[in-house]
Amino acid sequence: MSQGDLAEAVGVTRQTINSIERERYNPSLELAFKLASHFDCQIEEIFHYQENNNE
Amino acid sequence: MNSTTTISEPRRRTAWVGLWLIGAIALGGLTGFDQPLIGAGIYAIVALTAVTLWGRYPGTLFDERDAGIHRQASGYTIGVLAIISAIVFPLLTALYGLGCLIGVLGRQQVHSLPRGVSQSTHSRPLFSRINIEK
Repeated sequence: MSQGDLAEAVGVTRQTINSIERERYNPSLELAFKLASHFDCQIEEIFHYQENNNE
Repeated sequence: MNSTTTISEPRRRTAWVGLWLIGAIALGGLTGFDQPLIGAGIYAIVALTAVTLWGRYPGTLFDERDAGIHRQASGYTIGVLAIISAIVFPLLTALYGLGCLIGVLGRQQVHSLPRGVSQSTHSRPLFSRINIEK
């Protein structure tokens, strides 16, 4: 699956998917749920909370 | 119809920014060259093209990440304006109070002088006029 396909499936731009993959952008909770739903898994399986990364 | 889908998302985003930039430059430039109607016309055409480009895109051209960038940019802009306002306006008031701006203000008043009123007399500082009247 390409970034473009995933972006289209969850309703965001390809750049946003790219930024998430490169850890340059933290998605909203809604987008995180959409991604988890798309991959049929839990949010924690895709995203991990890091306290230092919060700021 | 096919042409709208063949343009890729990054190119469309670049085109969106470029078109608005061209429109703004055309409007500002032609207004500067005393052709505001042509400038406004070009701006309207360019704006319509940009909106059409955005509206006809089947996918998502702007999303939550762009909204976040806009929020951050707005925050910075408001912050800069707040700092400038906090420094510049009190400074101008203080300079006005000290009489440092009286020359500038006097020059501005010249434009609204009624007929028959001498420019040199009107632009003099208040205290010198009082001395003349005495």
